[in-house]
Amino acid sequence: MSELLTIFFTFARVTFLAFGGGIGILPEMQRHAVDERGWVTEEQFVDAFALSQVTPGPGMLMVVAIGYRAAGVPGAMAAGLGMFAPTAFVTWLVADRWGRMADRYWVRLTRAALGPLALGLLAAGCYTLFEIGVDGILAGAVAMAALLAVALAKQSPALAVLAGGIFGLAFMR
Amino acid sequence: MIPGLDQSPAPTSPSLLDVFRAFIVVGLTSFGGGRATYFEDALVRKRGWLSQADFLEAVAISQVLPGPNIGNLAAYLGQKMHGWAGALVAVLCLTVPGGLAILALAWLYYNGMPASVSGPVGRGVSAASVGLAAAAVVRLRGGVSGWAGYAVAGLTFALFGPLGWPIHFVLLVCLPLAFAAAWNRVER
Repeated sequence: MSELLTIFFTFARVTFLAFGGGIGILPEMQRHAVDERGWVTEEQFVDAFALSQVTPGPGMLMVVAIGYRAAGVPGAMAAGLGMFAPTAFVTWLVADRWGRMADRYWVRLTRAALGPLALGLLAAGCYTLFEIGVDGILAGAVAMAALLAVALAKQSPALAVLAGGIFGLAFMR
Repeated sequence: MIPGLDQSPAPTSPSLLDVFRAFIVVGLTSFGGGRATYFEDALVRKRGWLSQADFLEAVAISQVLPGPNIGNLAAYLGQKMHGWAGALVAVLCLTVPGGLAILALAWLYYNGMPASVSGPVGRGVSAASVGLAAAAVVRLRGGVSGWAGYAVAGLTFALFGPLGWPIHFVLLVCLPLAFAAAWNRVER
């Protein structure tokens, strides 16, 4: 039981450092899971991230693979809960309070101010993904095809990514 | 109301089952990065539950708060759709299918499956994700209006993307500018 609590609180602590996205806390997560606790090796840590790229849902679900190695299925659940539950609760709390004050001037002002900020953050996230995911002409073409399919041809995002995965399997070995 | 912004769809309150249906599809199909696009597709484009401006607000708040962005986004949007029950359903729909999938793969992996089989697929998925993330930006541009808004968006992108500033510093610089840009657009 104490091992499960350790797993939960390790990831709960790390998740509160994740401002502006999960990718930024990977080094901190690695320090805890690999160096301090020894739950997984460095190679297994990197592979856990790779697994999260071919499964649906948030990439940070990679902690499930780490928790599983540390303490089986209960460990996997403790890791997932630690990573997602506390911060989701905080966000729910903020969303709840925020929604009730929607008529006030400063709330309306803040809402209008957040729009451009969010668009910039989304574009920056796109840049980060570009740095990780596009390493040549082939990958660039896949990215461009996905952009056109989703933005212009109104195809579903899942279809575009599925096509990318199949293309990768066939041509990007 | 903010003139010139896309505020079109009236706020609706979908049932819990509606929320489940919308989010479970995202949870089952959201491969790759750029996952905000899946939410935009399901909630803004397909169902019209939110305006582009509302969606951008949700994105901003879920990124500014700590935690995995997409988990936070699900909690925020779920709350907006159907209160605390909506938030709970949204977060579970987003994380449980992928969590089970990773668990299954992890079991195979620790029992000898080489991670390299996921390599080529992952490369294709990662590449397509870039296009997906870009598509969200293209689609949601209607949630921003005026040159000042676009200037703030551009600066935020430059500082947080190519220049790699930590989010706190980005907010320190860009938030005051964002408020200044919004000042004239919001009626008292």
